[in-house]
Amino acid sequence: MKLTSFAVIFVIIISPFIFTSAQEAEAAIQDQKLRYYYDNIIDNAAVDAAFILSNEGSGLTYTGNVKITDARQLAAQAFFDSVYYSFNAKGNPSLTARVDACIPVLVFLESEGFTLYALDEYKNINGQNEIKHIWFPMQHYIGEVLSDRFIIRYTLEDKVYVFDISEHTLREGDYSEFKEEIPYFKDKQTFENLRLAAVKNSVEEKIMAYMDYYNQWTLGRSLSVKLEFPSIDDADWKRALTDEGIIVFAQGFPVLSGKSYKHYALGGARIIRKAPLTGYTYQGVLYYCKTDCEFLQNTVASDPGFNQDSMIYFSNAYEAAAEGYFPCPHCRP
Amino acid sequence: MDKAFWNVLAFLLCAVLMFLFPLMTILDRQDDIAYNIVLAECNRFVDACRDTGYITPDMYLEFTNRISSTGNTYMIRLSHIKRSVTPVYKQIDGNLSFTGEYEITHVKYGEHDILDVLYPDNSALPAHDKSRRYDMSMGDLFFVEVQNKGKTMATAIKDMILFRDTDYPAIFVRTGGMVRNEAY
Repeated sequence: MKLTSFAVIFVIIISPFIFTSAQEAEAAIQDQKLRYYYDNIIDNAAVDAAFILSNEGSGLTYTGNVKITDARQLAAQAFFDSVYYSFNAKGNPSLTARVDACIPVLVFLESEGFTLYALDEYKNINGQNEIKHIWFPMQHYIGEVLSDRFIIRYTLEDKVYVFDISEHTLREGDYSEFKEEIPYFKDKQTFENLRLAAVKNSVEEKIMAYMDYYNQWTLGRSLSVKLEFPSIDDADWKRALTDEGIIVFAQGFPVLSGKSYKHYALGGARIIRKAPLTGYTYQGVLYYCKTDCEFLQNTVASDPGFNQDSMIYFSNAYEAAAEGYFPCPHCRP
Repeated sequence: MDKAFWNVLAFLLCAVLMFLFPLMTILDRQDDIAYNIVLAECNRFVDACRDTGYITPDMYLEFTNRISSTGNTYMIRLSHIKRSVTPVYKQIDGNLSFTGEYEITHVKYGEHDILDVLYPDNSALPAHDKSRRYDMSMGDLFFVEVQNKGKTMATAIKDMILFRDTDYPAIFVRTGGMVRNEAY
């Protein structure tokens, strides 16, 4: 045989392997796209829900003689609307049920405690069993027992509730008020660590308990999704747990290859209010600047010719400019 | 006979290895790049619409220009889902009484409704005219779906080799979400 024949035989032998590996690579790429698509939808919806939470539903519901609706309810509704429409599933009960089953738990973190909005079975008004997302009662962030006598209920802020086991008293207040009795509360960092741990553990415990419960009752039903607690980065936990907001767990969307789909999304709903802007008249010119502007504090305020009464406050630059004030050339607000 | 057989086989293999295989690889990569561009541009367009709360002919034109730079033709579906809040009344003995509750209904506007506003029939109006701007309100949902029309080159060649007819799009992107602002 000539060299060309060897080459031909070699190619014939090698080509099935090349073909299969190319197919696998193709499937992996498509799988990646699909996962990205799901991630995108869930993240987007979580951000939408957080947006509603942070606005407390204002502008999205009418007030008046109608009872003020819970922002949480609106946020959950917005989340699922967004997801349903993203999958083009709105109005198709079997598809929405499929999506519901893949997003079994939403966790709403609030200052005083957290609430699960999760799939559960209940009897509806006609006596039929229905599987739907329902609100679970609010849970508090309970920490470990400190000094063998204090049970602490934390909040997302510095406020704590302290229950004294030996005296059977419940007190509430800023953590620094208890620093005489509880040595851990002496410095901010230790308190912060304790608080984060307490929040994380209570949330994790509750979600895991729910997942166990969910896995039990899905057994024997046609819901094939087995819930598992995803591994969440410590940094992500920290980010999620210092803010009011929403955590979403999505699992079991159909994928092409590899591990089953697992994703969590965090939406922070805390609004960080910027400091107001200060407006003042200096040497006959109207200026607005940041409240901590060095020029204002050092030069202007100490000038004897400066009229303190001319100082007013604006909530943003537009408002200041609309009143005819110029931006301060030093701090550039 | 033997030599002729090897020659034909070698010729076929050469054709596959030196022509079809590189061509397919290049076209496949081209599809990947097209997908990435379409995905990025869709996200950009949708985010712009959601953050401002409106669509102008200029925004839409830029979006279509950018995605058509990939060389494929696309089918673009815009959908705007309007939230409207309606009070719930109960009818008792022919009298309507307000239940104190309300209901959120969704009204869906397709790309025809949107494009009719962006490009009205009397197109003497300039592109930045306010009446040619499609406004949405906060809390509405806005989605864009893009898929390629017909077949991309890569799919066409694969179909030819494998004797099949692909009827799903090679490039499919759907993004969107809630409108967050009313900056008009």
